[in-house]
Amino acid sequence: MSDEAEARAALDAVNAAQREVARRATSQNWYHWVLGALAAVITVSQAAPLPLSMVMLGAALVGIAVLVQVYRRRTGVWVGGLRPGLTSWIAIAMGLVVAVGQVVSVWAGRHGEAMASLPVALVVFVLTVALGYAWDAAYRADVERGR
Amino acid sequence: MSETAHFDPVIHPPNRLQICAMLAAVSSAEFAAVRDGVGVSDSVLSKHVRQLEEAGYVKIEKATVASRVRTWLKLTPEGRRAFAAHLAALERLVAEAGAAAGR
Repeated sequence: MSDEAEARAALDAVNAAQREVARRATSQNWYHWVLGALAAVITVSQAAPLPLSMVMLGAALVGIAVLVQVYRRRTGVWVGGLRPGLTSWIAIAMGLVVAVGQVVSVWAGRHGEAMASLPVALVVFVLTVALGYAWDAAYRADVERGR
Repeated sequence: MSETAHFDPVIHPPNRLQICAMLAAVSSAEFAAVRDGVGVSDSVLSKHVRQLEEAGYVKIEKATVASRVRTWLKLTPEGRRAFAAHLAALERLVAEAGAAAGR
């Protein structure tokens, strides 16, 4: 086999291995829905009265920890949100969505409009799920481009 | 690719190249996932991982989950640089061969 053919074969093997690992990492659609639901719970918790708000927040944070563990066990891989390229911006956008949702929810709670946190939580849920799918697509595109 | 092209004999063997390729695409991967992806036995993967670890390219982490020890592998920053440089060397080889053939 020539050096060129050997190099091409090696590059093909690299692409195949990375496509397989990207498929594995983005195969868990349920992850986005559960993460969205937990983000919504965090949002609502900010408008709930004490001690309910602390219980809801604590349960959501434990839920996120469990979610990550289950994802890692099922896929056998972990991809940090903050990596070079578009995926970082999507992860930052997701963080901003949750942060803004919390601020609005706190404001609603302090102004006696706790129920207003429910539609806010719904928006946080929808955007978190949508950004989760967008992150998967951006990650697969990155891997296809060899990044 | 901005990495300086450098052919790396530690990474070049097919199985080790596949291991590095998988690890380069993620933050970390479980030993069993890499084994299945590369399609080798536990002992063969262990041997290759040890060689990559000795070169400073791979870090091994053990985590106990539900009383089971799971081994996770990750590329070190040096390993990521070496893999990128090796890929750049392979791409340059292909590009040069293509240019020489007038493609």
